[in-house]
Amino acid sequence: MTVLTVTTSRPDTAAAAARTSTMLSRAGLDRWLSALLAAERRILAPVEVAPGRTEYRQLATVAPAATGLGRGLPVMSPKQAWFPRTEPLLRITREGRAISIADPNLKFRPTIIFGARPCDAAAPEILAPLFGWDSHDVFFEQRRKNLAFVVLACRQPVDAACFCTSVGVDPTGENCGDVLLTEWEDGRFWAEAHTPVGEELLAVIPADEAAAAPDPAVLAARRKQWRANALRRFDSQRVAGALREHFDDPMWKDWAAACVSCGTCAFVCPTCHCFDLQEQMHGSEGLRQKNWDACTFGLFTRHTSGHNPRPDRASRWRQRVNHKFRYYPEKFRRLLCTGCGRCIRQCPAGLDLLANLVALDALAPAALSVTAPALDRAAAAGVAAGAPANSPNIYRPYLMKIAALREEAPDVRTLRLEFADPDEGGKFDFRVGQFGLYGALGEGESTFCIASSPTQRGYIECTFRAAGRVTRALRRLDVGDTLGFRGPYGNSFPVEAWKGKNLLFVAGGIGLPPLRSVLAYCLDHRADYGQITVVYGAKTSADLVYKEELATWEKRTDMDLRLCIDWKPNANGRGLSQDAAEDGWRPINRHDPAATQLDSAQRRHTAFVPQLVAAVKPVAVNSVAIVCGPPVMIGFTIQSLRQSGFPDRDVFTTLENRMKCGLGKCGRCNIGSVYVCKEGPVFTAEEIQRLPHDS
Amino acid sequence: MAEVHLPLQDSLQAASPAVPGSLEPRLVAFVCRWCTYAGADLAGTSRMTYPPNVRTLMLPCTGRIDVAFILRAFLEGADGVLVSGCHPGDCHYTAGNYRARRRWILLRDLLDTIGVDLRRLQLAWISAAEGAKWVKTIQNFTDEMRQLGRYEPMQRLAADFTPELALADGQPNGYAALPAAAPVAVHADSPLGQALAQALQAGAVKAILGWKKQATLGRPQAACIVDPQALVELVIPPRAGNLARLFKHPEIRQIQPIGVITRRAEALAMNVLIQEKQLDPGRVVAFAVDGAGHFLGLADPPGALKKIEAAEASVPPPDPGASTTGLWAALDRLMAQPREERWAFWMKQAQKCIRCYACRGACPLCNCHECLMDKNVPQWFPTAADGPGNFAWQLIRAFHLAGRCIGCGSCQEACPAGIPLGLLDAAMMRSVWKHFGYRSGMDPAAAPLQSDFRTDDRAEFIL
Repeated sequence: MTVLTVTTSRPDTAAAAARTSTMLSRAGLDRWLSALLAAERRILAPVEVAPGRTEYRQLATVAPAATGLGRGLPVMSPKQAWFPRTEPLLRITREGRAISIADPNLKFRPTIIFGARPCDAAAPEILAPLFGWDSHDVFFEQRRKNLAFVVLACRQPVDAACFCTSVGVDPTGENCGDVLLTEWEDGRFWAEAHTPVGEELLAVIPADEAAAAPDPAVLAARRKQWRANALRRFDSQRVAGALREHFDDPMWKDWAAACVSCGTCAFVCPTCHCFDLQEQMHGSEGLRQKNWDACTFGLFTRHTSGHNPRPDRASRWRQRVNHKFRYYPEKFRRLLCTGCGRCIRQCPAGLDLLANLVALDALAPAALSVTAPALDRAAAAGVAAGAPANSPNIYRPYLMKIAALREEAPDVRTLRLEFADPDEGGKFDFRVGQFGLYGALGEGESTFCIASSPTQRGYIECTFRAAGRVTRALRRLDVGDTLGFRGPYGNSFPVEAWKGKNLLFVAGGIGLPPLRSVLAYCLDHRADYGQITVVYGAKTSADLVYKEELATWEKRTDMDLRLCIDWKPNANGRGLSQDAAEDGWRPINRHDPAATQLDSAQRRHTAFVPQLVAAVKPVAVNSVAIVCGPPVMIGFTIQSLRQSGFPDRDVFTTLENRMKCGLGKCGRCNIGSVYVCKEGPVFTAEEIQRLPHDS
Repeated sequence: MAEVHLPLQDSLQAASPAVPGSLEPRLVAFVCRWCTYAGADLAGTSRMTYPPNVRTLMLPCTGRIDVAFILRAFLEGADGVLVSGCHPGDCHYTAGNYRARRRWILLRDLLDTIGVDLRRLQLAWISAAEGAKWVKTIQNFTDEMRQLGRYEPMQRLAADFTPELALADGQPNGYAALPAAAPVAVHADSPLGQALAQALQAGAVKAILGWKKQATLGRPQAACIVDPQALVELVIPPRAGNLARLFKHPEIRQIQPIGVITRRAEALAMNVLIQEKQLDPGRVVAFAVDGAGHFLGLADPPGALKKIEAAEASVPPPDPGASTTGLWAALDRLMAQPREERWAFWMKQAQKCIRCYACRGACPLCNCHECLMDKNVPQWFPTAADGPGNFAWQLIRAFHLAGRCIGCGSCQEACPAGIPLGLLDAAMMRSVWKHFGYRSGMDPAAAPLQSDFRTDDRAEFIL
């Protein structure tokens, strides 16, 4: 299961490496631990730190471990051994305007978790597919590689909150860990190695420890009994089925009513892996860090705009339960839970996950449908996430220089970025619709689409509005300054499949940049496409972005650009005025937009975007529509397009969920089991209809 | 949007040592615009000289100098912090400096509890005419800091932190676990059960806030009960949180009138909420119960406290040495240790913190709409559960609750890391009693401690 890359074992014990099992007394256990410590391995073991309170501690001496073995489950899981609560990902040095970055230490000390229960030892295996999903988190993987488990079998549940057997974890740990310790009736421990690493660990046991092995038949019978002691409380398949069926039910509100929106459940959990990326500077030195985060925090998914896809405790608790018992299994064929029960024991509000699961089991439909992911598509097909080639660190950005910048609208700016290393720039490629994370190094990263076209080589562009901590820091940068870029991430618009079709682009406000990349690409391949129509609107003419390009597009005869700005309110403050909002902008027929006669001489209108879409009277046959803008605009535009005969499968949009990693690991951007960063950001309206209403 | 944070942020970062290991102290001065800044200006225009070690930051008033600024300066590498403003009675805004003084009194006691060297924080009144006093103050402060040297323990906060399973020594934290007594069931025919059912059925209250038993382990779970049939599920736990925390939720605040099963802790917390205009006493019906769960009658929250005080032995005020057991004894033991030991103790505690914010969630009075720790424009403190971040969070939490915390112990009970949070709060309760004769939660008509002042508040520590 794990490979211990350690060469510190003494030569005389290496010779005895064939030992695969032995019987140990308590004293023998202590001697074994002493020998392991002498081999310079870090050992974490349960220690009873106060009456009734056991915690994992790093052992400096032997005695506490032996006394702590078997005395209840440690309050927190040993998760920090593979996923520390804060981990440096990147070192940042800032000298004046010059910025340099370096990988942190990627060598981790060999660690043994001694006396872990099977529910803790099962966790890294569960997380491996997530941290290795297309891109490899070298921090998790290296830590795990240097990790060995000496597991202590459970003979009975610690208390009523244990439910490992319900999630497929064997409390006797029969095939678990590198070494399995089973406490025998006479107080001795039967130690069995399950892996070569385990054999290596057993090899350091002093030779005088030898006692009769337990009778295999008796051992098997005992294990059967111990398994039976841990009652199976629910069927995880039935729970997954019920979660699908009861997403919108009011019970979530009841179940989460007492929640205090803290992160205790996630932080004590061995499998909760969601994290935040943060940067902090101290003088000229700084770090990018991976910090524990929790879906139960209100801030977790909140956008800078204030919009929050999961605004209340009920939707956040629902996310936690769904993530563990439905989304993660749909994605990685493993339950994201080992049944340790810590969240039930430690929740300061007394939330009861097990009771919820038992209730879900009871709610399950009689005939379970086969587990079907909400979307069945190959994630990021064909293109691995981009990363600088000289580092295994997926959180390390390319360094980019700002070659030019342009003010687009109040607070909106476009940056043209060139690779600091021209070699990297030469190799860099992306597809239209992909996004990246742009880092004001020392302040953090922000997610935007790549607003330029892949046909423009040697640079990329991004357009953003200064709104939060990072975007304001990006705005403070000037030409020649350095920033970080990670990408390209996500899927893309199927521009190849659109060949020969008419294209209708619909954008609102800051929603044009994602479409600009597609539009520029299609205009560069103009002959491949039919009619190109662009409907773009903003609150006022000042808020329109890419004014220079709009002026060029307006003059082109091989495309039809229609611009609009919002109606102005009536003088009495109620309702909307039929007058033009600004000079030169002609109102459309607000009550029947389709009745408006448009002509090519007048391309500027007073209208809301969905109204102008209706007024344009787009032809739905052999056409696709590409829509991006604020959620309310998208909603009404899709309605308008339906009326014009566009089927939902021909309407494309790009979702802007809050993201931190961009790599499918931080657990933030998902809608149901769909990770927007990997399976999005481009979706059809039909696909969005099928996603849970969680955004 | 205005970039209000930039000058402060950059200046604070400028305070970090340019030359690591340099012996020259770095000082930060937060001064008010009207008096001290003008005084410093006078010193300059009068060609008086003083050491260049100080970075001066001007703010409108000492009342605007948030404790967070001072902590942030230390975390960014300041060896000493000076805060200075108008003399008492001279405030441009009438009383900003009086309010600041109250905060300084509390902050000094808090810093002393955790073992910060109080000589590192200098407070002074310097008027616009006192250019010479400014020069002398800076001169003396710089000399003293030169003698003390760089503030190494503070600057090692980040370096000393080990993010993985922190403690190597396996010692318990010296603070006994809270007793886990069994919850008492509320029987339908008991006086409390009857009163609750009657109030709910008659519409005197629209809902009851109480406790249910969680199915799996029987742990108490706060509940808002609307259906009289569900009253049978109610229990009264001897400890376990504070129901008043439910008033943080808008949907609970909307239910009016609402009944609350009120133990001493709930009564005290609701009194503070009333005092801070967060709760309308006329819309709350308190079902007062004593520690054993006996019903004492209906009242508003202040009335409930009186009933409970009459029925139970009243709790003595937090005098030093007033109690030889529990929290106060632990505090006495802590404060009897040398400053370096206290610092070491708290740094060990801060290492444990995982920043789950269970303490914040469980507290009935940690009710900021947006917590300072969650604000990121500017990013006041690190969100990472590391040395500086945890240090800042523990201090900010304790300080924001100084004069408000009613000592219910919910935070400590909630803490999965086993940090004796109650000790810091107890230290502040004692400080509040010692300096102001004030106990929070006792009088909903009193002005909140930190927004009030007296002209004769302690001042002997101010230059």
